[in-house]
Amino acid sequence: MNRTVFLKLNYIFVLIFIYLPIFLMVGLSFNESKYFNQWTGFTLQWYEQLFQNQNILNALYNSMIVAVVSTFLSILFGFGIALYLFRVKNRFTSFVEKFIYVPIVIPDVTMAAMMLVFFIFLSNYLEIKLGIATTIISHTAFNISFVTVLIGSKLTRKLRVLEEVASDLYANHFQVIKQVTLPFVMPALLASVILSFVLSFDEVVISMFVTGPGSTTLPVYVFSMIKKGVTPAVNSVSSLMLIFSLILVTGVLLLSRKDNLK
Amino acid sequence: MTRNKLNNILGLPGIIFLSIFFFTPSLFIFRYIFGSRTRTGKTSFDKIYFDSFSQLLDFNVVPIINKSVVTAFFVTLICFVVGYPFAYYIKKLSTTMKYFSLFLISIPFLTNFLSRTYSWKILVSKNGLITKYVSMFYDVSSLLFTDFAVVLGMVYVYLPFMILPIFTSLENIEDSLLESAKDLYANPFKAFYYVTFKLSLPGVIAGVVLTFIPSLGAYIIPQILGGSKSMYLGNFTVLQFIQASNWPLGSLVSLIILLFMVFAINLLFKFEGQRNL
Amino acid sequence: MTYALKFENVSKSFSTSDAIKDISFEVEKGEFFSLLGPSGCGKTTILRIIAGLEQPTSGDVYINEQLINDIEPHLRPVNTVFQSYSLFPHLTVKENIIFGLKIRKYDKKEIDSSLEEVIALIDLKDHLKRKPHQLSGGEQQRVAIARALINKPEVLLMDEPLGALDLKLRERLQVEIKSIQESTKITTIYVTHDQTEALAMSDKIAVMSKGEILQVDDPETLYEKPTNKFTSNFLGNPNVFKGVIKNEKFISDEFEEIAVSNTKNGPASIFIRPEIISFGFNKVTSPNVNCVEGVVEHILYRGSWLDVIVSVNNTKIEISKENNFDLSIPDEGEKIYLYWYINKTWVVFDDQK
Repeated sequence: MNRTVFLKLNYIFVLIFIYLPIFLMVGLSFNESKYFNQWTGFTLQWYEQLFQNQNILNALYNSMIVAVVSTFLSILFGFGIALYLFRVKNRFTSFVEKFIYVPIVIPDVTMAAMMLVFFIFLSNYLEIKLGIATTIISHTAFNISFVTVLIGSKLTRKLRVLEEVASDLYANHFQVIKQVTLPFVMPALLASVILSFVLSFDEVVISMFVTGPGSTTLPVYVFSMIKKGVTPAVNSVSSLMLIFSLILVTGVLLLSRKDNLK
Repeated sequence: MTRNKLNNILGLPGIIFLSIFFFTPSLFIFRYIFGSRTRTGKTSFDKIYFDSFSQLLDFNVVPIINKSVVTAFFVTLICFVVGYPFAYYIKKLSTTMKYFSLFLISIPFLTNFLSRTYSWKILVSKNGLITKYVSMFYDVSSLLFTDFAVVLGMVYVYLPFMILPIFTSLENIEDSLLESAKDLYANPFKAFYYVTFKLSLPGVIAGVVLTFIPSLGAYIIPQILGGSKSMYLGNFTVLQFIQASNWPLGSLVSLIILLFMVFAINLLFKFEGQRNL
Repeated sequence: MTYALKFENVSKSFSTSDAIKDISFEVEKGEFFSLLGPSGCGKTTILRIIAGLEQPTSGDVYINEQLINDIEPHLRPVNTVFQSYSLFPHLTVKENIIFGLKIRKYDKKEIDSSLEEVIALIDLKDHLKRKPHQLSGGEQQRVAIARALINKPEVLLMDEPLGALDLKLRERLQVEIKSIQESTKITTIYVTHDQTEALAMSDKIAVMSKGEILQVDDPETLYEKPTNKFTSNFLGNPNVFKGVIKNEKFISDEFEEIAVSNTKNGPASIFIRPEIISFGFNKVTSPNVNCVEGVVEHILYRGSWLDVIVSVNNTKIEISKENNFDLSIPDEGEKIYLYWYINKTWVVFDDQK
């Protein structure tokens, strides 16, 4: 077979492979029939049922709270660490610079296990219950690293010179951050807001370990539905989650592309 | 306020947070490994136990490790065989098409993992598209809950992890290098092997590590596509924590997954280091 | 005499290069003072110490008689024009220029009148609303200068401001900067590695090498009467010979005797600049000149001048001559006589630094 033809077929095959299941799932979520192997007509009834399902609404509410709060915290901490690593160079910071990658690469099962044993151990001594708070803490713990790395990649020599220019032009430390550093890293900052929101909102395994009864997040709840089988309800809620993260992720990609072109 | 004080105030809250809520928890795993499961499901720490290590054999963990490694190996291999030509092809596309293709491949990289895995479940379950196709040749009613489904699902989810780093390293190769290889009498195959492939190796290694590690520790995919009977390292660990309440053994297995990861990343850095010499 | 800037025994050590050792110098009010030296000699470090971006390891820095060692950069009455322009990419040209005034909360009236003043000096009227990336390199550097100048600093610091520009533009901006400095009388410290730039613009030049200042003088003295080998070599492209001075004669392997005007004796090097040497086809005998015989080896045609390489007693002497119509160009291989004034033979003894 001709080399170019092979490459082209492989390209088309991969794209179909990746997108076919997604389109199929989204399509089926509008299928009137309960059975996915027959199409009987278009309907929105599965979505309507979704919004009447109190369990799903509760889980969605929990997920939102967890994602918003952990995003806020991880931006606060992660941006701080990125600036700190950018400005201070010593043995401690070079250790932190390497260590910061661990929460990103650690397998989710391992992290889930260690967060669980930690919280349970603490509950012997403190008033701690597994729930929203422990989920927020765990999500923040891995999101901080993503924020630090993403923003850190934008803290370059060029920015350092611009900061020096600003302090040469009478800007004090806070003014330097407000007038120069923040505008400079704004695209990366926005991207990391979206990214940590998405990462938190989509997270399953760690949440499964550290949420308590009544504080289940949406993905954990959906996961338990999925395990039971293929149903129209799962089709629609999965489609919604997918489309939601798709929109946000597209935002991140466009932001980073715009930033690279600048 | 001096500059240093301000910088410390910026960085320390986050570092303290991570020390308490990431670093300290990681130490607890070690403590739990040397605990023992009591009859009530609680873990006892009154002395140093080695129960979890002996249970590695008693509970047949070794075959599970084997199966996980073999699965991860095949997933990585398939991803490479399909992903490399894909990355190679989009490198040659026009700028617009290149970025559009890259965009299409980056989206699943970050979008909802659970939904994507589920969408695959539709295809392989009874009467699903792929099941229908395969059943024309083999006598199967459903591919769901087979190792085949697990491997395909992992390939489906982790393929972008292979393609993106390979593409990045291919993109960094200057065309002039290939031209000079051809100028120096290399035929297209040799030029590809000695120039393109060798220079893209860092991307290949990064892609291999990025695919192998999550495949090895995967929990969601085996759970959804493999069912409760097929055991992999990831869902074995979860089982110990959630159902069996054997936290020492769960801690040990989760540490084993971590060690595999550290090993793979070290390998990555070693290759990278050699290249920079 | 009042000093705008004074360094007293300032040292700064780095683990890498660019360290400075025990630097002392003074800059008068209104002076255009250049720091000249090869890259890595520490000149930029001196500038950064003045700006407060580096802390000296030891020693004191004064601006207007006031010790400023512990004053933070944003509180110092100095402004810098950086090498890479370094305009704020997110701000317009106007916002860049008035940055320093806005930060210090000047009111709108003051800002507007200062802006007008600066624009009268530097023509940027058409660019005020643009973003930096829409400007050429030369325009960006003009904005950077305006941005520093508008603050009327006690000392203006310029770190190789023209380094990234092409030759023609560089020469035009040299003139522009010099005339701005003369009309504003702002004390200026100018860092450069380009000797012609330093010679053309400065009131005083400090020649630096390996973290030390070797000589501080006005351009003419520096060029004509360097006190050390490094300066003699770094400025211009002199013919250098090593030998001994004895009874007002220079003796070396190549030369039996070349008359010099120094009375001191001892091992030394002599420097003969290519442009002070004349040549002719007849021997010149005069008590005021040295004359040597040589053969033309090579002629390099440079357009507005010629470089002639002459071999004399197994060595080579380079002379350069303006290409004007009364220059009779010798042929390669032709025998000629070289002559120059005895008092223009510059001597640096080996015990001089």
